[in-house]
This record gives sequence, structure tokens and C-alpha cells, in this order.
Amino acid sequence: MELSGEEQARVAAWLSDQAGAAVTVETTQRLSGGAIQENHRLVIDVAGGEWPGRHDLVLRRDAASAVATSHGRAQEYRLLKAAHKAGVAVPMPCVLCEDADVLGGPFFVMHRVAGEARGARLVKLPPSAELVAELGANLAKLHSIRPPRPDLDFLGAPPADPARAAVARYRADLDALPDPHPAVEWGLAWLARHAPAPPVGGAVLCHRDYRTGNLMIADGHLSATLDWEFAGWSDPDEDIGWFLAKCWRFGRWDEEGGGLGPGEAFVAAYERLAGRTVDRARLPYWQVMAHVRWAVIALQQAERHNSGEEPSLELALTAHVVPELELEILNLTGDA
Amino acid sequence: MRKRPSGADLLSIAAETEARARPEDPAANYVAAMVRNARAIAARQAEAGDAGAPAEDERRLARAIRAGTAPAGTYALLLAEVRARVAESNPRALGKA
Repeated sequence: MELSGEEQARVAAWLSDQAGAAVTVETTQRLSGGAIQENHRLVIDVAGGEWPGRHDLVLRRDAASAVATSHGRAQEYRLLKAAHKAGVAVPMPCVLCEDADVLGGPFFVMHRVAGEARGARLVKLPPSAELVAELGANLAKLHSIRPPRPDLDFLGAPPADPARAAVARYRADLDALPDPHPAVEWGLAWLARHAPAPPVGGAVLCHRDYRTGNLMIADGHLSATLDWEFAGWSDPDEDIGWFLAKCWRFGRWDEEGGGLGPGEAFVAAYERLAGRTVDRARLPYWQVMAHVRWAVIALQQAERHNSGEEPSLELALTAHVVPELELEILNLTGDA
Repeated sequence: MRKRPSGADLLSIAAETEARARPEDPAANYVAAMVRNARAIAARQAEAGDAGAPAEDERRLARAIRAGTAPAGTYALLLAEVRARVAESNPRALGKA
């Protein structure tokens, strides 16, 4: 749904307060986005104050159906600010509104960044080692953010053992669902048996959905890292494993770097910037974790439809993503 | 036990979604693709017939796997079950196994 005239007026008034000058909304347009949040392009004119002139922005707010475990807009804003400060490619966050009188819930405004994030489109471009190297370096910058961080206190305490903590969490998630899922349990049992030692240096800030589909590319370069709903403290290998997981190659199976280029280029660039060696032997573990996690999320989304909470064809179809994830889990773990 | 949604439920939500869709909607192609996919899945399920082990068996198996007491042959059983469901949900994925 587009922003109503009234909503636009309230946003303009609120922005005028922030800017210390009159703000007029030139145009607004609903952008395509996930089921969890709404994005609106917002072009404004500021008459004076600290940021005079025309600004091409994006306004981001919660949609009706936010997943319980993902972050709200205020938290996402704080994550973006932290990431931006660390040099991670994100749209520059401008201002956060926590006054429910304006749009009925928190929202924030950030610079609009151009680019293509759709995986199906990106894998049609020629594979590029340079691009995936950028993505690796970008991830290393994110992982430079370590606890404690008072600005990120909503993330909770960093787990001492991220792998085992994840296994426990996904088991609890499965227990909360009505049906049994033995193939996913098989994956979790494997993950429990093969859990690596906790990361040297402890947990770091992980995106936890760092993959093709959430990375905006413009002119062959990374322009923005999107969708921070699942960010949290974890083992950095989780992000590396998720990026390299087969399920996110959008059909271009041979390009291990998210379907975009060679996996080696991604890892090498990450290592250069992180100043540490990635133990490649640890990555397959996190690829199994990636498939298990995505299966659990898909099952939770399907349950919203199945339970009648939110009848939706899109949610109903997420149930049908699970079998191929389970197949990959079984292929990766083998009979042990 | 076949997982939910049932074929009938899938067809029902597909029909509803199709009825509500407007051709000028920018997501119209995406919605049409989802509807086609849903119908194809339901058709494959109907052709395969009523499938799989009873729910209680699945539950017992899931518990045993978690406890580490799953019997020998469990992996092969899971693989066969999962392959059958991939054949219904997304047969193209079988080529990548």
C-alpha cells in the first residue's frame, strides 16, 4: 500500500521538526520489498537548516506480518548506523522516528541506493571474481564489530558457543511446530555431534542472511547490504558458510560465491581484510547449519499459513521449499 | 504423513489469490507464477497418491534421531522419503542432488 496523503503530511511535518526547516514531499512511491517490511521511496525538498535541498530517500517501516524473531525498525536502524560506521556498504541511515503518532509504528529514513538485488537477475551477469572479492571484504568489515556494544544491546548476550546455541535454538523452534521433521532433526543431530570449538576471539556481529538476494549490486560493484532483520552475535564462519551455501546460488551451481563468482575469491578477500585465516575445513559445517536454519524459517513461515494466522499463497508455498533443503541436508551430512 | 498444506488447501488458496489478482498490479507475473506452481505441485501430489508413514511413526523417528537412538537404515529411509517429496514440490531440484 502507498503512503496516504495524510501519512505523507505527517511524515513531512515530523521531518520538518528534525531538519529545522520546512520539508515538502515531492513524490513517494511504494518499492518492492519483503513480507516483513515496507519500503517507500521518498523524495523531499528541505527549505534550509542542516540539510537543504532535494533528497532521494527511502522510508522503511514494519509491514503487518513481521516474523517474531526478526528485528523491528528501530533495531535495524541501530544496526545500520553501526555497520555504516564500520565501513560496511549500507544505505546511509538518516533519522529514526519512534513516535507512533506519525505512522503508527517506528520507521526510519535512509539514503536511496540504486542497484539490483534480485538473485535471478544477478546470476545472468558474467561471473566476477572482483565482485565476490568486494563482498568478502565487506563481510570482514561487518565482522570487525565485536561485543560489548551498548548501542546493540537488543541483540542480547553473545553466545559463548554459537554453534551449540544455534542447535538448541532450532530444536526449540521445531518443538514449537505441530508436525515432526525427521530429516531436519537428522541435520541437527549431525550439527550437535560435529560442533566446532567456539570462534577464537569470540562471537562477532553477523548478518545471518548475507547472501545473493540481499546484496545490491550497481555497475558490477556492491552498493548496499540489505535486510538486517536476523543480525546477531555469532561465529563469523556462519556468515561465510551462508554466503557460500548451494541454496543461494539461484541455479548457477558452479559459481560457489553465491552464484556470482568463485568462492575462493570471496574467502581470500575476506581473509585479507579480516587479518585472519578462514579455516576452510570449518565451512561445510556452517553450510549444513545454513540449510537447517533456512528449513526452520521456511517451516515457521508455512505454519503461519497452515495455522490460519495468515492465509497466503506465498507462505503456503514456502512449505515446498523445505524438501529440497532437506535433501541437501542429507547429501551434506551423509549416513553417519 | 504428507506435510501441510494439503493439495486441496493449496488449490484453494491459489484460486483465491488468482481471483483477487489484478492484471495491472506490478506483481501480477509473480502471482501468476505462484498460482501455476501451486497447481503443478497439487497435481503431482494427487498423482503420487496418499503418501508416507503415519504421523506417529514420524514423531517417534524424529525423537529417536534427536536422542541418537535412530535405528540403522534411518538415513536410507529419510533419503527415500525426502526424494519423493522433492519430486512433488520441485522435481527440477532432483537433478542437482
